[in-house]
Amino acid sequence: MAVDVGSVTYWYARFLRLPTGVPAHLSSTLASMGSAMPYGIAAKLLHPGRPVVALAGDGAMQMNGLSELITVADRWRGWEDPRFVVLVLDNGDLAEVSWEQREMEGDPRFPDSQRVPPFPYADYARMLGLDGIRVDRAQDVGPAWRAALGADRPCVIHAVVDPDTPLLPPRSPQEKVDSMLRGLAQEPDDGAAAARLLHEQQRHESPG
Amino acid sequence: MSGDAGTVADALVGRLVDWGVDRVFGYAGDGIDPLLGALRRRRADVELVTARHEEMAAFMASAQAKYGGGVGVCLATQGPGAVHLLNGLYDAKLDRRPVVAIVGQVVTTALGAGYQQEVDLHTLFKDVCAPYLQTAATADQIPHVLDDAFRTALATSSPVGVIVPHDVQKAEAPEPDPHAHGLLTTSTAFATPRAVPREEDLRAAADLLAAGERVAVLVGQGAAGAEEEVRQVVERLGAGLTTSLLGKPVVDESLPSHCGVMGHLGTTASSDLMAGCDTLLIVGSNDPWTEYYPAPGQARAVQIDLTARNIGTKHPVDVALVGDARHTLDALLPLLPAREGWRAEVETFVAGWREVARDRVTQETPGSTRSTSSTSCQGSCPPTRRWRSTSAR
Repeated sequence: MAVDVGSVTYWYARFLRLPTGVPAHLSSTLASMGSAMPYGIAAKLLHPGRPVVALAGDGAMQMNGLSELITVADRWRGWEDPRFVVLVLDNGDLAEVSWEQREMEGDPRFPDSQRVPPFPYADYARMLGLDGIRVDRAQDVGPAWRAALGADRPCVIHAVVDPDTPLLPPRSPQEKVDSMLRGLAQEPDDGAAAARLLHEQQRHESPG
Repeated sequence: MSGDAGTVADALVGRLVDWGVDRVFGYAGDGIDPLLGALRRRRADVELVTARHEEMAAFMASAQAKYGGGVGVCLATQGPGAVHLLNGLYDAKLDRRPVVAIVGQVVTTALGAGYQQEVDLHTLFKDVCAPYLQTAATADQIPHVLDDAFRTALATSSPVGVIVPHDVQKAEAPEPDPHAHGLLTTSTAFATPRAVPREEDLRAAADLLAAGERVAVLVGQGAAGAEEEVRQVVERLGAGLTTSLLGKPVVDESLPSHCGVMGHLGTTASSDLMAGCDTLLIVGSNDPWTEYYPAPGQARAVQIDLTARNIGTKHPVDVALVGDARHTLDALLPLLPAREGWRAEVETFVAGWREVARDRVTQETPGSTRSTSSTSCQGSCPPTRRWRSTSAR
C-alpha cells in the first residue's frame, strides 16, 4: 500500500484493515501531498512480484500523480506482477483543508482555493495503455476492485466521491463541531447537506 | 574519462555498489553528466530509475528506505534539480529514514561567480541534511565522503547530502587505499547494536506498569518487527492498544483490544482508550497529536525508544527505556504481572468504534450521485465547477 495525504489519509487510517504482512507507507510527519505515486513505484521496484495499491485524492494526482503515472506506463511491462491499482478519490475539493477551514477557523470553504479542476483520470490511464475504470455508484465499487486486481496491467479507479462527507475527528468537542457548522452556514445553501451529514456522524458516536 | 581507474564519478558509483546499492532514483542534468556516464558503465550492477521530477525521485528514495530496501539514493543536478529534491528529502528527515542525496554542482573554478545554475547548496541543504552534508572539493575525498554519508544516514536514520562539482566528477579517480597524512582510507563496515535498557530502568518501568489498572499501549513505527512482543505485553497487562499513523501497519488491527489509529484522523476507540487510561506505554512512537494523548497528570507513562532524544518530547514521561522495541519488550515481559486489567472495557471501545465505522461507511451522501466531471468535459468544462449547486437534495 502507498498512501497520499489529505482526506484519503483519514479513510486509510480509520477504515482500512491491512491484511497481515502488507506494508503501508505515506508521508506522515511531513504530510506532503504527492506521496502515493512515488511510494507505490518504489514499492513495486522493490517487490515486483507483489501487487501495489496506491490511494490518492484528485488534488495529489494533479500535483504529481498524473506525471508519475507516465513512469508506471513506461515500466509495468517489466514487472513480474503488473498489478498496480491507483484509487483516485475525486471529490473536486481539497477536502481536508476545506474541513479545516471550517473546524479550525470557523470559515466557509473558500472555493477559489479549494476547488480541484475536473480531470478524466480513467480515460487518461487508458490513453497511457493502462486500464481505467470510472465509478460513480456505490454498487460498482466491488466489481471495480475485482476488475482492477484481476487486470493484466496497472489500473486507475476513478471514484467519484462527495466533498460533503465530513472528516469528523473522534469525540470532537462540541465547540469544534459548532465551528464547522458556523463555516458551513456561510456556504451556498447554508452548507445544509454537509451539516446534516455532520449531525448524523455525531449521532453515530453516541447512539441511543 | 581518464586512465584505467576511471574518474571520480566511476569511483563514486563503484562505492555505491560496494554499499549494496542497486537502484538510484534520479533525473538527468548536464551538471551530473559524468556521474550518469559512470552509471552507464555500471549499468549491470546499479539501475538508474528516472522519475518525472526530482522531488519524485527523492520521495522514491525515502520510500525505498520505508519499504525495507535499505538506504535510498537519489541523484540530481546542480541548481534547479537540487532545489527540486528538497521536499522528498524532508519527508525522509521527518519520518526518520536513511537517504543519500548525490547532487552536482557547477565547476569549482566558477563557484562564487553567480554562475549559470549556481545555487549555494550548503545553505539549501543545511537543515534537511544537517547530520551530514559535504562537498567533495577534490578527488581524494572520494570515497571517504560517500562512506561517511552512508554511515551517518544509517546511524541517524536521516537524509544526508554529497555534493560533487562537475570538474571533480570528471577528475581522475584517486589512488586506492592511500596511507599518508591528510588522506583517508575508509570502508563500508556498519552495524547497529542490540540495544536494551539497564536492568534498573526495566524494573522501574515494570513497577509503574504493574501499578496501573488501565494501561494503554501506543505503538509507532519504531515497534516494527516487535508485533509479537507488543501483543504479549497488551495481553499480559489486559491493556488496550492504539497506534500512530506511522504505526498502523505494525499490529494486526483485527485484535479485539486494538483500538485503531489515534489522533485527529483516528478512531473513537483510540480516543476512549486515551481518555480512560491511567498508565501509558509508548513504544517507538513520536506521534505529534499531543491533544489526543492522555491529559498531563492523567496517566503515568513509560516510553521505549531507540533514540534517547525522542523520549518525553510529545508527552511527559516518568520512566524512559532507551532500547530497540523488540529486545526491550522481550526483557520487560518477564517482569510484568499477568492480569485482567481493563480488557473488557477496552473491547467495548473497539466494538463501539466498529459500529461507528459501519455507520460511517454506509452513510448516504446525497451529492455522491452528482456528475462531478470529467470524462465528458473535453473543451467544454465550466470555468468553475459548481459542486454544491448540482447536488440533489
